[in-house]
Amino acid sequence: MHNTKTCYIFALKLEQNRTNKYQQTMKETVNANIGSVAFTLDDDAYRALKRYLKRIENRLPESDKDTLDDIERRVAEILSEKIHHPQRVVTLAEVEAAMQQIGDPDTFGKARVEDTETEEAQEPKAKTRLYRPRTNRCIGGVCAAFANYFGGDATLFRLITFMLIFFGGLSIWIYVILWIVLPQEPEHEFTLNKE
Amino acid sequence: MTEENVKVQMRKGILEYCILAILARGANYAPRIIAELKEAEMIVVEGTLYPILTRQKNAGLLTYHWEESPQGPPRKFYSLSEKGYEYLAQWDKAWEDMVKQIENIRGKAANEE
Repeated sequence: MHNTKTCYIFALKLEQNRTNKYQQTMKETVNANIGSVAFTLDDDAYRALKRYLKRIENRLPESDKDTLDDIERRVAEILSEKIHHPQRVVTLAEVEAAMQQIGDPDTFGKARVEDTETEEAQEPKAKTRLYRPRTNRCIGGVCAAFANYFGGDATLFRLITFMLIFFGGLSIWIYVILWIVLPQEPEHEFTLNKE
Repeated sequence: MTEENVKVQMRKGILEYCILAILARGANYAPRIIAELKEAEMIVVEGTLYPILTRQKNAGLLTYHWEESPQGPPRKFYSLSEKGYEYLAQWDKAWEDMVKQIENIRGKAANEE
């Protein structure tokens, strides 16, 4: 299963300075190739399906790629029966129904290694790297970088920094050094950032 | 042990036989095999079928080929190989023998009473 992520609420999100305000009504979707058929899935549906297939893979013998391919094709067949128009988005409920029809991953045997939620475990980590963001900068983005990293409001960080520099004896050179040292947020994260 | 448990145990042993018997009538693809097995109450979840198909294919009992489908991607059609037909013949014989034996045993029990 391969995917291309689309953020059609990208412009809105920038305006909203990455708040989740519109998440409820406008969900992100993922384009995925399931068993050689193109589907557009809700993000949560895509994750659930990916996790499900990973779990099955983890329960089949290591050399057995055929069965996994067959099951992926079966998922495509079940979903195709419900999706009559290519622009219709597959929902979590539809994916869950398909998974129920095919059966619990434990049907396929015992887990070879402990289930790892690889995708879920990696993504938040990538998000919390100390980068100077490309948006929401005041001077060099140093305060915004710390705010993103620790999960606070950038304005508050700026205010504290300002106070420390002018009244607390913090050298302004520290800001300049951090500005030089901290890497800029990479371009792809800027366009694909999920927050 | 409930009736359902008994069935589950028996199905496990003969599911393989059923798949071979279905394919003996001609090449078929998974969704139709599933439909037939579901109708016969041989499987509950569809996933049970696929590892068996793969195992039978790897054992040389089945072969497969792809057929274009009017809607959607090509379909994987399984059919019995020569070895598969031989194996099925053994199953048929074993099954008939077993049914006879069971009838025998039950008949004896009835006579003794």
